Amino acid sequence: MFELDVRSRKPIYEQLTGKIKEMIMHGILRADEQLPSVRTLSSQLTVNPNTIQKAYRELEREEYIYSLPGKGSFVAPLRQERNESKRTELRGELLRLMAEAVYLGFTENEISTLYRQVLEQREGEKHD
Amino acid sequence: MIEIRGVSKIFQGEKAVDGISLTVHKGAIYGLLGSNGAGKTTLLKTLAGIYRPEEGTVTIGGKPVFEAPEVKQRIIFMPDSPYFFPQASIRSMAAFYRSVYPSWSEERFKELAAVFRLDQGRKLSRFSKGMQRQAAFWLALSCAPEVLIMDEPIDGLDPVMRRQIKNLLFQEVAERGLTVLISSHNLREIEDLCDHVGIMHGGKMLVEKDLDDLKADTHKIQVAFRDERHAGALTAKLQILHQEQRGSVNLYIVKGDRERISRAFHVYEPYVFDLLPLTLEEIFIYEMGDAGYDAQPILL
Repeated sequence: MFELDVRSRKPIYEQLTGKIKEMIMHGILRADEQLPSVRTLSSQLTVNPNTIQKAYRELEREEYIYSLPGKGSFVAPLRQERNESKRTELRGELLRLMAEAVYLGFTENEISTLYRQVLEQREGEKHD
Repeated sequence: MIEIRGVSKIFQGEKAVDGISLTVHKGAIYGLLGSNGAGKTTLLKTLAGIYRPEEGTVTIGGKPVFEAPEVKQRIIFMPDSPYFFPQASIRSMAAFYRSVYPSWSEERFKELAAVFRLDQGRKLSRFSKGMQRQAAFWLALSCAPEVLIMDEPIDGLDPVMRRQIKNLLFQEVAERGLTVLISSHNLREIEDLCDHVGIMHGGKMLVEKDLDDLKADTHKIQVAFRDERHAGALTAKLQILHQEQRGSVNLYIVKGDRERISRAFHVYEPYVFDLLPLTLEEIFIYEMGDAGYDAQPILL
């Protein structure tokens, strides 16, 4: 499904939650799609099952996924309030990057080209 | 699953293990780290019921281990160098384990033959170190124990086998709730394998924690301030374990919440600010340094 960077300093469980969130946000994992079981993912990635369990619990707490007893974990449908807090966070991040870009002489045109590029990529992914 | 309460072990008046307590839950993989001579092996042998502790209690599943065969039937202790009977082959060792462990699974033993491609009839003494290690794992996993205690088990295995064995251990943990206690100096391996770690020094436990919490709790920060006075103002606010100056860049090891630390630094708008999680090796070295055990800059 995905690869982890074992050389990275980031704790494995943070890498896991990060990757899964990313896949949900990019629509690679869709709402109500089932996630691989802890056992399967553990042997695929050679990662401690307790770490995967922990990552799933954290994702569930943040309401990215939900679990059905005896069935497994599933992707939760997107919710507005979750979006809101993420947006505020992202706005700060973007401002910081934008300041850097302006400093390096990026023009408004170049930045909007980047925006369009992302939109096109997203469209492409959906058709796959 | 494993409960160690205030255990001390004395050899000829010397305390090899000094009042250690630790708990390992069912299905956890616990990594025991420590300096040379810290007492790791003594602790593991006490836990396996080989040594009788002078003080304290050791229980597995609520029952004391020492001189209790019915408890020992559920645990496997793998010493730092595998031991087999003289002249024994894998086949004859398997017959011995089968007679001692009621949980022995013949089916599992046969399945594992596909993983460990070793000649079952050959004398174990003629195997290489790594092959003997593989044989020890094969026999241990075939016993289907509830608790697996291993002293320096990764030594001598090639990368393919290490991955293979890690996968086997993870499967046992996920499917049967096997509890694993492992001691090692190979911190990279421990980092990938364990969910809890304990660091020992001089017979005592220095830190004991969930590995992710431990890593999330200590950070390495590289920062270049706009004004040198800023550094002084910050040190009062944060719990700094270690600091170093390399040219205009300051290096800090700080304990605490990542967000809070990052905010504290950003007040001063530093030119450069990098916050990195620590590796287990760095945590080990800084904790040891705190306990007065560090690498001396000596040139011989």
